[in-house]
Amino acid sequence: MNIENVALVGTPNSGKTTLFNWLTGRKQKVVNYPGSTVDISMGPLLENLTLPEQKIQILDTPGTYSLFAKSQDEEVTVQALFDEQYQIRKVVVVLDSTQIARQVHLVRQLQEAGFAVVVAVTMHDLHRRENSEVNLQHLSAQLGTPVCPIDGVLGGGVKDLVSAIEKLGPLPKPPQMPPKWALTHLQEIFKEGVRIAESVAKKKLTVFNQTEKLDRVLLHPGWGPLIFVFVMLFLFSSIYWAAAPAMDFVDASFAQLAETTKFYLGSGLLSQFVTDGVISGLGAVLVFVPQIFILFVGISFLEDSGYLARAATLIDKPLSKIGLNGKAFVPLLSGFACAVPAMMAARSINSTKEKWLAMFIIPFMTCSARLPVYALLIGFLFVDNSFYAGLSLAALYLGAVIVGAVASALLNKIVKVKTPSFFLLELPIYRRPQARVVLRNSVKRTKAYIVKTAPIILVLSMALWVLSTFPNYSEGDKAVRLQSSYISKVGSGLEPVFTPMGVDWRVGVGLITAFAAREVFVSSLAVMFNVTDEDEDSLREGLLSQMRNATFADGTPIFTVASVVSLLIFFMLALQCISTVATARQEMRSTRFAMVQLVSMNLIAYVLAVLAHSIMS
Amino acid sequence: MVKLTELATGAEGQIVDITSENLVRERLLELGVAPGRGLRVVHRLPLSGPMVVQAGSTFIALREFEAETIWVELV
Repeated sequence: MNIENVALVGTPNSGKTTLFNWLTGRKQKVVNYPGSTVDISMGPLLENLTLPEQKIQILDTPGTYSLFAKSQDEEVTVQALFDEQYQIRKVVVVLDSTQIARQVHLVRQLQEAGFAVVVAVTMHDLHRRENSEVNLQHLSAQLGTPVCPIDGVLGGGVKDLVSAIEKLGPLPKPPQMPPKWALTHLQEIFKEGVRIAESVAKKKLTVFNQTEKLDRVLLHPGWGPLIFVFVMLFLFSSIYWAAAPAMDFVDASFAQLAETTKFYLGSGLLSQFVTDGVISGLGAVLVFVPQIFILFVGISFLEDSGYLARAATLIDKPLSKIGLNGKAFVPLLSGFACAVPAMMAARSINSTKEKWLAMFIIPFMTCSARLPVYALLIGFLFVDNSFYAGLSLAALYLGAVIVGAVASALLNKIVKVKTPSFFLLELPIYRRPQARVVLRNSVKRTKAYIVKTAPIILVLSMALWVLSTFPNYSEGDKAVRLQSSYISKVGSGLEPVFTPMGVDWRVGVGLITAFAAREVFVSSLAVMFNVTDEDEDSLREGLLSQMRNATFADGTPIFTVASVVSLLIFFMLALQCISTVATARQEMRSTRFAMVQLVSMNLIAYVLAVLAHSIMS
Repeated sequence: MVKLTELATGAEGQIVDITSENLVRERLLELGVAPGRGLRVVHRLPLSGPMVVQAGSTFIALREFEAETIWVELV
């Protein structure tokens, strides 16, 4: 049976992903920011929407204003449309009914290319709410395509759309990319678009007035930047104060679990494996999941409201001073969650040089994987002073941003190439974020985070436990056992590298395992310093007190203010993430870029960490 | 005929000509900014940052650099 691929195409933020979710039953993240989809998603049409003998697969594409792409995300769409592996013959143009005039040329270009086109009209609810109707029959006649209204909130009209797709006849020949339109032609078609728009929707909508009113405050010359700073401060400080109760709960649960395990399994080797290798390794990192969840809630909220486009506008001028563009703001902000999606989001940056610079500094943004490490080390420095702890976390976040900005400014001076740069950004209307959607997205992202990191942590913790326990496993004194273990032989050999940072080989092993994922550092320490030996009702307290007691062979403490600050600086700047390196290579199509980035960032991190240690001690 | 940048916040104009390079002219057209159409300055950011204009029912943020190439007749 043949599978028929049908592509959803439309201008950015027109509602393609919402429609895709209704058609396929998937739950792709929908965001109120133009350019939030940067890759193709595919999914089979829901079975209850079609006949059993029809096999239709839907492709969601990044938004594009025309078939003549001006950035990489737009290119993704155009390439997919004409890629013979997809054999796309039918296209659904997703048309935002409040913006008809400037979308007609996209319909015309797809028709000229030879696709069979159906138009799905979205944002219809905005018209209905104001008792204004779009004359769909007239629109259909003018465009020469079937037109189906879609209710994005409730999913109405999806069945009619599917039957309209099914009714489209076969094409005489495969579609072909049309020759580039001259500007005058584009102008003519645009005039046609204005004519059509005026004849099908007569009433002016007031929903734009509301957005304008809100923007009078949020884009106000004085208040706008102030509110922007406040919003960012609130977002990043909430990570600290809003997550605390949930963190205590997770922490206590893992400590309880370790206690219970010991109670039932005794103190044999198996019990040690489960408590030290599995529970404390996993628990050391999962404790920070509430913080990561809060960060995702904040970012989702901003995404849904439409504020991100304003934030990008507000920050465009400052970013232009360091060679970047307001469009780099959203990729950089998502870098605070994870560099991998952030680098993919950089596709929407039009200028090659600006994209290059943004890609280079994205890993400097404090991703969620650094949070567990920071929280542990700051917890060591400021035991019971949450004010100083919060302040130093803020300093680390800010410090990384400053380093990123300096790096971008320097690279901008060094790299002499000039590529055409422009900042033209559509500001979507504000929408009230729905709590249900925000929570669902955040839960989804948090789950994805756990699914991605938990296996790595688990495997490495278990491996590390084995390597630090054998061959001398029957030895009762755990310190002696570790000294004669396999990992000690490897680690001691590498110790000269870590001595300048003020730490011993055990921490060094933690730093090396952190290249699999940064937070593994915490679980590695937990495994090697035998956290569950401490009778604390919190794993975190157990780890902190083990760190306080840890000494070099000569009895001097390992974790001092100098060595912990040195570690913090290293984590702030180092690129310790294999996934990021792979993504950089793939997105830039350059192994050299990825390698230069990897080596230079880690070298800078190491040098500055060593410098910090020698100054402070 | 004046440059768009000379319009005060709230002022409206009719676009007469756009003189930027083709890439930007095309993108402006695709956003609904074209000769013959009306345009309104909605917001201006400080320190000659971007300005926000409304063309039809679209709000567009653009830099001074681009705005200087849009020539308008005051309405």
